[in-house]
Amino acid sequence: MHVIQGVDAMSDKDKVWPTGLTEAESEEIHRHLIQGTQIFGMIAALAHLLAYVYSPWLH
Amino acid sequence: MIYGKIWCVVKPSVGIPIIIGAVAVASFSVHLALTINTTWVKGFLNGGAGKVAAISNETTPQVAVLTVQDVRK
Repeated sequence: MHVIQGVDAMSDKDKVWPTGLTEAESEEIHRHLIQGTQIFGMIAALAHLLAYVYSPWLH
Repeated sequence: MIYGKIWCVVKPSVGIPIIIGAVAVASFSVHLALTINTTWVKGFLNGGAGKVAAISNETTPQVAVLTVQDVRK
């Protein structure tokens, strides 16, 4: 009985973890963080391309 | 999503500033090192002004000479 309850608790998607978040909330934050990283990376890549073209860098 | 559950065990108010701060410090360090260890950054940031000033000093012909006469004779 206790084992079954333990298994149920492990797979509970509504469990609130020590940080105060559920797994769904954690994954939502992570999705936004990854998206922000991708946008930052694209802007940085564009900036480096412009720097390569218009400055003496690496020439 | 891989590592999506990390925020269940790391508080986002702690982890996200650490990540962003690490990126900022690393980026600043690289650009500071470039500025300190190369010569072309300063010239590039001076733009055309630095180039014109450098050229005019070397190539402009001398058009006058200032001489001071000794009037105590």
